[in-house]
Amino acid sequence: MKLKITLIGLIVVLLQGCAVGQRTVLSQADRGSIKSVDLYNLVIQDEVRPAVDISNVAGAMGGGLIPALIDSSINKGRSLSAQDVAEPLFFATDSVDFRKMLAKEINTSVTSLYTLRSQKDVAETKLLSDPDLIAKIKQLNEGENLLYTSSFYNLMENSKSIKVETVAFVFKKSAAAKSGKPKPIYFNRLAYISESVGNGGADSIAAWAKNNGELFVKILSDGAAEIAQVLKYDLQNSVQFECNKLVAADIFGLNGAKFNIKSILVEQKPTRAVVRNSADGALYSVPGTPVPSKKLNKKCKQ
Amino acid sequence: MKNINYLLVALLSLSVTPAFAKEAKKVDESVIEYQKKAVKTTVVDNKAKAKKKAAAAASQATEDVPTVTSCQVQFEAFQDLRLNKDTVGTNFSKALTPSGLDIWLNDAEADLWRGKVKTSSGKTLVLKPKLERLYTYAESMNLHGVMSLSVDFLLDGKLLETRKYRGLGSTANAWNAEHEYYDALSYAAHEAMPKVLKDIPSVCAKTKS
Repeated sequence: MKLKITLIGLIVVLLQGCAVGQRTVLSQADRGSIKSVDLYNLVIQDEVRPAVDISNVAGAMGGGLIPALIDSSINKGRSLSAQDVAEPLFFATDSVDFRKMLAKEINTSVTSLYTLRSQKDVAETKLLSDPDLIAKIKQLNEGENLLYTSSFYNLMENSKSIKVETVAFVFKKSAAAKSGKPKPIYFNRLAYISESVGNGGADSIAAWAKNNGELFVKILSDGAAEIAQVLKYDLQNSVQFECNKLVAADIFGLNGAKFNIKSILVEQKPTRAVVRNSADGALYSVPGTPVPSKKLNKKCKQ
Repeated sequence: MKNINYLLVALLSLSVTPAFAKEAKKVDESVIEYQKKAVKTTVVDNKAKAKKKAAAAASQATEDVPTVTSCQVQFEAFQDLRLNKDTVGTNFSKALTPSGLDIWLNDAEADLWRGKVKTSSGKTLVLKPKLERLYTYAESMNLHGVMSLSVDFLLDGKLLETRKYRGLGSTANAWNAEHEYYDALSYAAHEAMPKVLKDIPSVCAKTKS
């Protein structure tokens, strides 16, 4: 059974890292009509989030206040420990500005496809409220579309790897013509998962933090660049699912645990692969070579 | 099946927020004036309870005793070196942009530093605090606040050393009201700032040479 999420009602929430929902393909017709882009490249976080295994007593017990309070208490302790463990990394990287890294990469990607209304060298800090978003769409010029991205970066898997995740929307001017929430002509989730570093916990943190966070900065930059490339690819792609082979890839779920997905191999590079989740169309850049599946790709529709 | 469970947990967390949001709006309207004036270290609408909470957090964070040194200690005002001076996070529906941060930091110094150090006559150790990070975020059913600061310790105008400190403060996300996010920041300050006092004796000892 697949749950269909009403995408429109959750736009503000989706922009804050609780992203779920099916990809909305940017159709060929809509692609052709985009003359220029107003970019709102949002990064809410000031720092990387430390790796926390989220307690799921509430989920396991079917919800309710008591299980939720249990989760709250457990997670408070876990978050405090995670912050303590990651402290050396935070101290080594307090001048690292991910907003600048991402702005540079996304500007480069988007300007290779469209004219940008303006280029900022730092990503935005402010989440747009629903009225602000609607106002922004209304002030678009003819043929201009709003590209709204919101990105997050977390330490995962006991601090062994870094995940960068971006949700991206494209709105055209007419989206705000009617009352209610604006409907995007494109939506997708894009994620970058780094290679594993160290043995987890303090060991991995020490590796990330060494030499003023040299490795951390490098991987974060690679993540920003990869996300920008994957976004560029998806904005040029009007095919629902590529006619490529199926592979099994490891990604991270909402509670931080790793799990395996059936996906379509979009591109195999020397040290990593880009895959599309065959359930919801999200794109992932994962390290290494995903294991090929013996099943045929039945999603292939031209 | 696993994916659906994660989805249900996400939906559960999300569904809690909208139900409280309507009530939260009433609370938010009543504290708009509070927000405009300052982000205080105690909550305006229930000061006694908040003071008790803050005191409990402070005593959990560190021993609440004056630091005895053989230096005189002078605390300068915070320099705001944050890369992001616009926001301290979001509350799911909009950016959190409190005003009066300089007042809040001054209040934090008054509560947590000044008057907490017993000094005798001696050289004056000057502490120059710099705010590096200050933000809140929601995680599962909690709201967390993070404060990161660095402190320059100076003697006779010369820099002796710089030390860094961080604190995480947490509170349960009961109403998703803005003041709850600011509570988390207060708790973070109560975690981070007392750590500076603990270092004063050792830095002061270096001034004798």
